[in-house]
Order: sequence, then C-alpha cells, then structure tokens
Amino acid sequence: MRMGFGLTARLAALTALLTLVILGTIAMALMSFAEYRKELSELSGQHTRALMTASQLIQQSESMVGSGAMLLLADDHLTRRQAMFEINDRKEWIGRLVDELTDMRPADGNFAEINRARDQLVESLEQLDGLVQQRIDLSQRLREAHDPQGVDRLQQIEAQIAYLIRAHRSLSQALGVAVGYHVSRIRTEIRGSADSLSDDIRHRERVLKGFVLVTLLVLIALVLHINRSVVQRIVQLQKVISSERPSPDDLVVDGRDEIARMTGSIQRYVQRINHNEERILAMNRELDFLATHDALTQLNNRHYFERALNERRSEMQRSHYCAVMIDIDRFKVINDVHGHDAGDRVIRYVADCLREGLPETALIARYGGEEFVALAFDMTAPELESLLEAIRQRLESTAIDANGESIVVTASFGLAQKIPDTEFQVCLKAADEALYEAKRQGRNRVVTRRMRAADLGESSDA
Amino acid sequence: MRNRIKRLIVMAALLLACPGALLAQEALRVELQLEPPHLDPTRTASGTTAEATHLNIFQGLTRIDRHGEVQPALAKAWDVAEDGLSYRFVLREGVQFHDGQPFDAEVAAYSLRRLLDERDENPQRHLFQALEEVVVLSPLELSLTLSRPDVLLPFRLGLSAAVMVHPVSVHTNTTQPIGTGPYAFVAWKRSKGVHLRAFDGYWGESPAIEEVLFTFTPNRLELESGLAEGLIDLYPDASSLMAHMLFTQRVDYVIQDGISEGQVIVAINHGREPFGDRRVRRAISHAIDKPALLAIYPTASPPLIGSHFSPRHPAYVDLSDRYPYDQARARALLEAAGHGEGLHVTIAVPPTQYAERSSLYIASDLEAVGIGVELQRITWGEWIERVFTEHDYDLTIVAHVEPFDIDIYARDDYYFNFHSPAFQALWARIEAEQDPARRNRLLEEAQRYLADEAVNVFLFMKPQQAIRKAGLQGVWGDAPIPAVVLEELYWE
Repeated sequence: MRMGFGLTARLAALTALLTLVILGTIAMALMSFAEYRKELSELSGQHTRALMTASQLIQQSESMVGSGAMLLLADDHLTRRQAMFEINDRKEWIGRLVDELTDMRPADGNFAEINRARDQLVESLEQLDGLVQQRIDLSQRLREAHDPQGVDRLQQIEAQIAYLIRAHRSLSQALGVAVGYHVSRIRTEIRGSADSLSDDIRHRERVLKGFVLVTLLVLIALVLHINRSVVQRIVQLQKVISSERPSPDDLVVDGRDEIARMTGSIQRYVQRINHNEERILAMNRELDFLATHDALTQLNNRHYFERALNERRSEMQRSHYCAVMIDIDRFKVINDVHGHDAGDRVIRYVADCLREGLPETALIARYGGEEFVALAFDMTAPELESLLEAIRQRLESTAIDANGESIVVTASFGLAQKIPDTEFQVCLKAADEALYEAKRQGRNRVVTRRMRAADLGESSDA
Repeated sequence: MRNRIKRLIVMAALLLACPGALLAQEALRVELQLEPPHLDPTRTASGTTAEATHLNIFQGLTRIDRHGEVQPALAKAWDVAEDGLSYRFVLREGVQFHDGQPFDAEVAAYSLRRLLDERDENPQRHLFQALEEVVVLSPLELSLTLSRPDVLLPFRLGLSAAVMVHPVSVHTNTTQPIGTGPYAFVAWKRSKGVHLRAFDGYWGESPAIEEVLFTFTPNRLELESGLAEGLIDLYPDASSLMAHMLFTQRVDYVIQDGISEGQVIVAINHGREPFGDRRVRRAISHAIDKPALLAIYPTASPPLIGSHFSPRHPAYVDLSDRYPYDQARARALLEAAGHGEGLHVTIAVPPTQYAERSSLYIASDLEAVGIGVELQRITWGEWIERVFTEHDYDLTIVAHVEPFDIDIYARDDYYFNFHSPAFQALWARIEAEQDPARRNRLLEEAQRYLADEAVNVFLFMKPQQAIRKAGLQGVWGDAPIPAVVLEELYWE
C-alpha cells in the first residue's frame, strides 16, 4: 500500500516550520543586537576617541593663548622659562594629538593645516619669548641704574610685544579654525552614524515585527490545521461510533492519512459487526422455527401447540372453538410393508391435505407419530365436520406414489366442540374419545362427539 | 540556506560567549613617564626598564622586598661558608621561562657568568667584582666563589641587573623579554606602552591582576590630563607634579608618601671645560639654593644631601650644608677661575618632572651669578644616548635610583668623566675592608671626598610619592629599588 503524506509528516513539517520561524526571529534579534553592539562600540570607541582627541586638541590650542599670556606676564626668567616649557609641551602634545587623529581618520586629510598653524603660533611665541627675555633683562638694568636710552628701548620692546600679541590672536584663531574643522567633521560623522544606527534599528524593528507576525500566522495555521484535520474528524468519528446502530456509510474516509486509515478500519469493523448480527438473528429465527415446528411436515409440533393454547387460555375461554384429533389408519403396516421413507411420505401428504383443507386460522400440529391435532376457531361442528369429510374423501380417493407403488391411505377423525366452562384439555380429550370411536367403528370416518346434557349440567352444577 | 543557518548558529554562540571577552579587556595602567630604551635590565642602567620588567617579567636568585630586605626568589635557600668566600644556592624546582624553557642551575650559572663578562656591558657588573667562579653542583644547586667576603652578595643578586635569563632567548630580551616572572610580555608599541599579561605557568601564586599596561608619557600636560581623566591607575613617581595638590582633593585617587634610594644631582661633565676646574664646580654648588629648590615638591620635604649617599645608611655623613647658598662666593670662585666676565652652560634636561621643574630654579640661580644657561629639553632616549653613553653634555639633572652606588665615582668609564686615582684607591680599600666599623669610616671619608671635590651638585633624596586609584592596594610605599611589583597589586 502506498503511504500518503501522513498526518505525522504534515504536523512535523508544520512544527518544523514554526520552530524555524521562531528560531529565525531569535537569530534575527540576536544578530541585530550583535550589530548594534558593534556599531555602538565603534561609536563609543573610535568616534569618542577621535572626539576626545579633537577636544583635547581644541583645549590645547586654546590653552596656547593662556600660556602666551603667562609668557607675556613673566617678570623673571623662571616664569618665562616655565611658560616656554609649557608652550613647548603643548606644541609637542598638539603634534601627537594630530598624529593620533591622522591615524584614526586618515581620510580626513588637511591635518598639515593644524601643524602649520601651530608652528606659526609657536614661532611667534618664541619671538615673544625673546622680547620678554629682553624686557626682563632691561627692566632689571633699569632698576639698578637710571638709563634714558634703556627706557626708550623698553618702550620699543613693548611696542613690538603689542604688535606680536595682535598677530598672535589671529594665529591662534587660525589654529582654532583648523582644529574646529575636524571637530565639526567628527561631530557630523557621529551624528551620521547615530542616525544610520537609528534607521537601521527601525528597519530591524519592522523586520522583527514581520517575523513575529509570520510566527503568529504559522501558529494559527497550525492550530486550525490540527483542528480541521484531527480534532473535528475524531469528534465526527466518535459521534458516528457512539450512535446505537452505526452505519458504515456514515463513516467518511477522506484522504489517506492516519485518521483516514483508522476510519477505514473502524468502517470495516462496523460492517463485520453488522453482518454477524444479521447472521445471528437468522440463526435465532431458524432455531425458533425448529423449536416450534415439526421438521417432517413443517406443521407446528405438540410442544408449540400446547404452549400456544396455554398462552391463549384466557382468550379461549371467551371464544368458540372445535378440536379435531386425526390418526392415519394402519400406519404401522405401511411402515412395515413400504419402508420408513414411504411412511414419511404418507405423513407429509396427510399434513399437506390437512393444511390445505382446514381454514388458515386453524391451529394444526403433528401431535405424535401418525397423529395430528387441529383447533379451529369460530366454526360450528357441522361446518368443520364437512371440511374434515372432504379431507377424508381426498385421502381415500388419491393414491400416493411411494417407490413406484401406489398407496392409498385413510385417516380417522375425532371432532369435539368446546365444552362450555371447561379448559381446552377437556375438549381435546373429547376429540380423542371421538377418534377412538371412529377407530372402533371401522376407521376412515369422521366421528363428532355430540353435546351431552351432562356437558351443560356439569357446567351449571359448577 | 543551510550555510546561512550555520552562520546564525555560530553568531548566536559567539554572542553568548562575548560578555566574558568584553570584561577581560580592562588592563591596569601604570604610568612610568620615561620610555625605556629597551626591555633588558641586564643591558641598561635606565631605572624605567627595571621598573617595568624587574620582578614582573624577570626575577633573580633573590629579591628585595618593599622594606629593602633580601628574600628568596628563584633560589629558595642559601648558605655562606665560614670564611665568607663561598655561597651555596639551592634553586626552586619546577620553574620555567615564559617560552617554556626550564630554569635550572646551568641557566643560573649562564646568567651569572654573562653578568661578569666584560664584553657584555652589564651596567652593574662592578657590584659583582668579588665574584670569581660559578660552579654547578647539581641541577638545582649552585656554588659561588668570591675573591673576598661580600655580605651584600645576596642583596646584589636581588638587583635588576642580576636577573636570570635563558641562553635561548637572551638575544631578543631587549625587544621580546622572556623571564620566569609572574607576568609575560605581550607587546610593546611605541607611544602606546608595554603590555604584560599574567603568566599561566608561573611557579608562584597567580597574581590578582591579569593584564597590565605600562605607559610612558613624557609630557607633563598630557600626564596631568591622563590623571585628571582617571585613565591612569598608578603613577609611582608623582612627587613633583604641579597639579599634585589638585589630586589630593580627588576621592578616586590616593597619594602615598615614601622615600627612595635615589639621589638627585646636577651631574657635571668633568671632561668638558671649564668643569674640570674644582672652583667652577664649587661656584655652581654655592650658586644653587637647595632649600628653595624643594619648592618643586608641594607636599613633601625630602632630605637635602651633600654627597652621593643615602641618609638611611649607617655610614651617612650630613654634608648638605657643605656649600651653602652664597652668590658672592660663587661669583668670587668664578672670578678666581677666570670666568668673571661670565660663563655659558647648557643643562640637558631629561623629561622627568623633578628635572624639568628644578632646572627652572637652577637656571635662574646660575644666571644670578653670571652663568648664562640654556635649558635643553631632551627625551629619555636622547639622554641615555647622548649624556649617559656618549658623555656629550655640560650639566644634567638626574636621579640615581640604584641603592648604594657610590662606587660609580670609582669608574673611569662613567658619564661624569670623573677620574680620580685617589677615590679609586679609597674605593679599593672600602671593598677590601671586612670590618664594618672601619668600612663605615672609609665610606664617610669617601662621602667627604666627593663633597670636597664638588664632583656633582648633590641636591636631595628623591621622594617617592605614588598616586594611585583609591581601590588599588599593594603599592610599595618606599622604593628601596626601582621596581613596580605588579604581583603584589590587587583591587579592593
């Protein structure tokens, strides 16, 4: 038998699909997390580092002005040198910061601009250092001795310093602008990254929602499918099976899956049960027939006859009936001379004549070996007597073929009508007595028991 | 499709494994300021190499603890013969180098013989001159024979120049150091620092801190900014930071006081005119106002010194007032030496905070007596090369951090260019003297001699103020030797 696309396979496939969709959703979420983490760490790592470096760069560029002020205000060489140390530290640091930034953002270019601005600024500061140095020395000398030339020179120096300071301002602005350019680029980039990250997150959110929807749909489809292909069919099956007389035609076998195969099995089982039940009923009927009929003549047997009369006892007390006892004459001789088969044939023939000659409502039974009994309702004794006479004449005038020989049989009939207020046994006994009378009178005749005064008297006495 | 699923599964697995990896990346950052010339402490006198590698990557037979006491290290025990002329060292079992090579008596003997070899320029070879012979007694036993008794030998074997090296890896130790210590070298990127990671096969207890990064930031502004941003976990030499006071206010940092064995001196190049003239050197000594110089330490008052000797040594003589601050005498001495009209000197200033800051004061002091000064700021590498190796300088400001190193004045090849047969004879007597009292008297004599000669300007003992994160414990208070012992650090 070719196995169909079974329920198990279908359910397994659907479950696998559901699992796959769920796993896909989870994997998708995990993947998104991983990407966000990467992006975030890039944002926080690289960009932040670049921004930090750039901010330090700005800070150092701006602090250059402070260090310049310190240099300007120096009134001894220690402070002056300290300021120059600081300026050179800043210069060096700016250089390193620019290198770092160049490493981090090689695509940006334009870093040379910063170094150029820085170098110009430091150069200007070195000039300032020289002037401040002169100023300190000159002031010292002027403190020690009055020197009009020295005062003039000091004024010249101050003028030069003032000029340098102005130049200085524009130089440090240039440095600020050069650095600011990169800061703004980094800021734009960070914003760009953040925006694209947020777009990406939104996109992933939508995809994730889609995944969840698909999961739900697959789940619903799975539930509906299980309901339709399993639950409903089993409920239907249960309904059919639990009816009193399940008919195989009510069991619908759709498809080729496990439930369909099970339904098929149940259908065949129900068919078998129904068939067996019919057979048992037929057998019962046959057994019943055998129990109440004579096998040879198909007439009721004595057992049935007596039981039927007992069952009708109350009814019979109200109605009128006549009883007839029939006996085949000299049957033993027929048996002895022609054999049992001939005997059986004779008995069957007599039975047929009785069945055909008596009214249908009459109760006829084989009462013994060659003896029959009949009970006819709602008939008078003369009416019945004429029927019996006709049967007697038919027997007498017809030869029965037995093994090539013709046999003529006769029968004696004893007839008695209901004796009022008595049980039917009394009537039967009367009929039996009449039969005996017929035998005694020479057989082959119908003897009717006449009603006697005693029959009525007995009854009135009672 | 299948590949994609496989990729998803791998990715999911990676994600689950990730947090552990992310946690592990935080390394302890120790700031040392001076970028070492290389990483082999048996090849350089630069204290910064010792600080980064000694007791971390490399270990000796003995070690010196935070109190300056000698403790067993790769030798678990030793005994000395009654005449003091031989030592027997019993080595620790199961010790291996970071590359898996085993450590045994042969390796130890190799290291010591290499230390004594004149062709191998060990900066502290002179400390081991008494050592005559190294004999391997068994795989874990070593015998050292001395030409004269030396009670300090176990101490000296605990110095950074006497660490154990393996013949297989010895030639690459400068760039790829391999020792027996608790930390193995990972990488050294210039301007990024030296990266160490705890060594799995370490014979001792595993250190509490897994990864360490030594950084070298010579620029004061950068250094202060790094501290301000909390990027630095430990800076063992924060004494002369200008922003020092500010950090005492920060709850996340702790400043701990200590002293070192480092003498801060203005080293003078005797080989260059006019510094061969003792009057010039004395003039310089008188010109410098040493008490005022201590202004560079806002929260410490280290002892002033007058010779190359630690006040903690029993033979110490206080000569700090040998050349009191006296501008008139300085001028007079210069005049007498023929430099009355003035003199011009260059001071080579290495990038240490104490040197940079004291150079400003010293320059003003010298200028005040008519000596023109040029401050020449140089990197540590330049200092090692030009000043220490090539002796190309006038004056320089530096701390000599090795303990008990007065013998450097007996060395002809030393960068001071100080050649004094008298002192060399004196040192020979000191080394030969067995009686501690007499020896101490000779050491006193040596201190006086150096002071009288004004060989260098002896300023003060370098204070050891460490600045550390409040939760970082185990930092050495004092610095009896230059070392940052990572093994003893832990987070609280």
